[in-house]
Amino acid sequence: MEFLPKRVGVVGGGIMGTGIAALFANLGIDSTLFDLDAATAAKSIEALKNATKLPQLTSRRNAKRITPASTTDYPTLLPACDAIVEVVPEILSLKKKVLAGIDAHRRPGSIVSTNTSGLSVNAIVADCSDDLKRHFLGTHYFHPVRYMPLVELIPCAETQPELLEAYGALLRRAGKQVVIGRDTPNFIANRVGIYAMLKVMALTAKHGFTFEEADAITGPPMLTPKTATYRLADMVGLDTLLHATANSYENCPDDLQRDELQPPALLTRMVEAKRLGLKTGAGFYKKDGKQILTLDPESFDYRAQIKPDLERVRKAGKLSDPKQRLAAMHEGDDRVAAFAQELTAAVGAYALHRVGEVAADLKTIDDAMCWGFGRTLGPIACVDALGLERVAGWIDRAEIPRPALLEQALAKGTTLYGYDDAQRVTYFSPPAGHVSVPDDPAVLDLPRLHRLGKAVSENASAKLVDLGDGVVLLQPASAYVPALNPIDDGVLDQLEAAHEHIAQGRFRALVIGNQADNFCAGANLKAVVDLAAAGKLGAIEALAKRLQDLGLRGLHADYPVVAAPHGLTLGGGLELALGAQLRVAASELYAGLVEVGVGLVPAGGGCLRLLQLQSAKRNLRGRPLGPMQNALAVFQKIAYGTVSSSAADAQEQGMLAPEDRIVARGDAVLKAAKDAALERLEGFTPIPPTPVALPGEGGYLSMLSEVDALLRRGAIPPHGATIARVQARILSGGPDANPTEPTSEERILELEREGFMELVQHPKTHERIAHMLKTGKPLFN
Amino acid sequence: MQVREIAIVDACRSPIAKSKKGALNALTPLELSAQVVNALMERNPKVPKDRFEMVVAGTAYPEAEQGLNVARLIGLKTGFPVSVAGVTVNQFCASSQQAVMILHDAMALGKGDAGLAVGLEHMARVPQGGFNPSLDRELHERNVYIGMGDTAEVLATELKISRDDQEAFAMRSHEKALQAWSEGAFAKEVVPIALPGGGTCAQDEFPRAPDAAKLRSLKPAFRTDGTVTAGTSSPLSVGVAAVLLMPVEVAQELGVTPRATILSTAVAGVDYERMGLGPVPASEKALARAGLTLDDIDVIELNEAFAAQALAVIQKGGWEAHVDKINPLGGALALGHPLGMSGARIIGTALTALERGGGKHALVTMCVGGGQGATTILKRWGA
Repeated sequence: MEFLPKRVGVVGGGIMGTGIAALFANLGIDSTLFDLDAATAAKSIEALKNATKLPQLTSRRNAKRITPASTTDYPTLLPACDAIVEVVPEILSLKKKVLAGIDAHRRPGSIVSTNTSGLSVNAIVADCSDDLKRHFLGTHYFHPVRYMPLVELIPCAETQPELLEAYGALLRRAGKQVVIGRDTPNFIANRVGIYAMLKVMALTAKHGFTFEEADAITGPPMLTPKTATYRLADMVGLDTLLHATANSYENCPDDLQRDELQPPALLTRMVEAKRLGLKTGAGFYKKDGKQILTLDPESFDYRAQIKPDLERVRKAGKLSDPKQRLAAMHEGDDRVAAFAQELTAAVGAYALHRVGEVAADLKTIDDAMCWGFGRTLGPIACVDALGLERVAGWIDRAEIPRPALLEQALAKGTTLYGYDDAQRVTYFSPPAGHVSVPDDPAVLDLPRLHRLGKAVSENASAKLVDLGDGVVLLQPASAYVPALNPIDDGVLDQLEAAHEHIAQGRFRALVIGNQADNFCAGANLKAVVDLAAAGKLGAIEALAKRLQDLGLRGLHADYPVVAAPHGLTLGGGLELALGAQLRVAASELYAGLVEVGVGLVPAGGGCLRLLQLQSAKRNLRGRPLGPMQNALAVFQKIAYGTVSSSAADAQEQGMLAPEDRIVARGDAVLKAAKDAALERLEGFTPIPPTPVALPGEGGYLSMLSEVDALLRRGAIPPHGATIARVQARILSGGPDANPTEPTSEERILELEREGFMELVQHPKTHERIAHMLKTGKPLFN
Repeated sequence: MQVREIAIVDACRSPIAKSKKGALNALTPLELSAQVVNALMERNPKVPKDRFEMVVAGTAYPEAEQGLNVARLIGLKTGFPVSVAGVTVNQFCASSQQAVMILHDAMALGKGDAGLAVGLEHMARVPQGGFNPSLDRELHERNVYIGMGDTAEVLATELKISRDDQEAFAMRSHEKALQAWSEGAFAKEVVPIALPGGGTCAQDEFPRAPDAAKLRSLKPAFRTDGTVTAGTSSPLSVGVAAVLLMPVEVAQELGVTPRATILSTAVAGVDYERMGLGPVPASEKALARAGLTLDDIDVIELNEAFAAQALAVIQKGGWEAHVDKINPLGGALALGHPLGMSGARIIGTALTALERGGGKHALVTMCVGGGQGATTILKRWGA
């Protein structure tokens, strides 16, 4: 059964309720937001619309899809809701009362959910009608809803299984990652996650590490985000953490590792002292002006931060392969390795013990930990990666009873994860043995294609992959910076090879995309700096020209070229995507031409493509907006290095074309891009060269005046003004441009290169690049 | 040909709103103009619309929503017969004062029996500088396109006008405007504007109790080493003013009592880098044409583009002895300066001030971007 509600009722206008309403609004689904009165709900929607930091809406326009209402309007408004989301504060009596109200007015058959992080779903629904119970489930969203991938779905005893499936599919379509848990305390991710945090706290004290050191160990080296443990605790709020800890401890009497769930004294003391983390300004860390202080657990006072200096962590941090990094943390007998071994064994055992209790299988638990806590590998997968025998030894050493699943795997001599004959991922699930993860028709399983040997060619920067159906994929995949996939000659080599393959008839369409954290975060700055330092200016210009030429080649090719940008798509990355004829973008797209931050201008076709997109815009009477307006609109974006907050935002800002498609579900983008490429094959017509009407000198001088005024009033720094003048020259079409004679693509590209070459030799640009490489932040000089 | 004496029958205006999130942003400049003109015509029922020869509208940026010959659109939107022509004029900030001058001159020579001048500027919808600025290289190199704030800095530097003096002047402007509002001085001048979706805008949005410390804390707005700040510059704003004119003989025929007559008008040019001084030569000319001196003037409406600019006019014009006559109800620093509106606005405000104070003559003057001045001298009816 497919479930696509026309209207969702969200009861409770708090931060979670508005976040859930926004999730549906972003998917194009209308909702009614019920609060105690409509005015309060309207205020919450207004706040949702105006949020600038981590906005929940992908476009302010989506706010229109949410209608404010009062709970007194149930009789007229609730029957229109196909799904009703109860998301009031987590007090059992309150939730029961609210559900009774919903039960009285809902349309039979409508799906009702309760959102909770810890209450029993069965207890909440206990007094409701049978129809409601059959159409009921629990959800556990993470805050902030838009940015946290995981949603745990918890059926109650009466929930119809097909309804659970359909609801999960709906949330997946909205871009969420869904796991099905059971009605046990703290469900899956928090149950295991809280144990892991408490274990880190115990081990920190045992091994005499500082909080900074413990965070350095339990961050990226252990395949966990940089927030690691204590920083994460401060973000979550120590009171929330303590509350959840108590929930686990009190309600899990049969937990074999229960003693370790006892709320630690330090945590209790901190909560009593109102040191709750970020929300009260002090937790394990405290911000003091620009400085960050660390709690000294002995004196209960704050001290200056001490930068951790742990050799094992430093060495492991240099390894880009996650499993190698993990192994490097565990091999040895120093206290960091001992810490890592004890932690991996304890958390792995705890997670393995939960299989069958909190979820049906081990993969669900790992998935929840990856999507809920941002881990690269789940705790069970870590055990598998390090070797079952080895970890079993560590578990024995810690005197933790061996999990049955581990014993069974050892007895059978199998790993916990593997691949089947078709190279699908399998996981160990006795008595069936290894079970294959079923194909998801919306997702292109890229790792599996690689296992099947579908790579056509590869180098350290990118790969070409045969996607089947005559489609070749250019996969930006940096061996050194896999999270950012910078664009360099290696990427362009593969791109050129892809076009050659198609020219020779080996393929018939090209897709550009990957499934990394980010599509491509820009050019390889280091390479540019090295060339500049070596005086190899010709090589720099050739690199820019190559990106430009390949962009034009993709744009005007007589076969489909489709890009699938997602995540960070910056500078040369955006230019790579704009060098395709169509883009299928993930909703979470942070795109922008940000070259100004490193003292440069886009010179890989970015200025050209933005000008083309902008000048294709028409006013209500179908007329062009005028060359100056178009030039200024693009100037606004590249002068400030504007980065979109979503794909919808990028489209509104003219960094995506109006016909480009947006897919909410990030992991489905590549498949959608391939489908779009195949679609285009039918009756394909190449895009002809599109010259752009640009204002020429008059417009250039007008932008120049503005730049000078900004400089005089100190609104931009001197080098900022230099860069802006170069941008103005490119975007106005240069001194010879004339709005009555549109400027050719080649001429605009030439202006891009001229500007780029002028700036790349500027010492102040070098300062900007050096600062960016060192600090990751732009320099305003 | 006999030259006819021209009267101002009436004038009114919208409140002046902020261009940033101001109450009038929901309206287009045309809709706003229509409301102001309708209010003016409704309260002058004896003036028949078919006696008009033209509606003249002034706006500093006659494009987009202020384009398409907006004067014609205003006439048609407010029920003037199709036979009444519409003319949009541009002289930057003096645009609507120029509209009054054109109607004055035309009717004085017998062309038309009634005239409507409208000044409009919606600085939120049509930005200063317009949407499609394009410059000439030679003039650019001669600095003809110098920014207005930069001209104020030039005057402040050359005439040694201190930041303290500028701030004192700005604060005084706010005090006078607040005082005028509290006394109901603008009851006749300002007409309430109905907003879409209900509600009205009935009050100027800018005047506020001066805060010397806050003013002192502002950063220079135009150059880092400058003295002119946002607090001593007229703010970006939105508003419409309208003036109803008629030859005195027609007014008598219709039984309409004028509020003032126009004694003389003048425009003049000055160095564009010192554009703020424009009122000095323009006023000298206008006074000479009226056969008056500043001693004969009871009210001076001197548009306050910048405090430094107004103080420069006072200094260079030798107006120090007449400072008390200047802007008795507050000036553009406090009320706002919707560019094309201001010419008609200060004529209306001069009428208010003359009638309140019982004075006889008012001198209405303003500086203009590109280096110009425009002045009109009024005589209160019956004085």
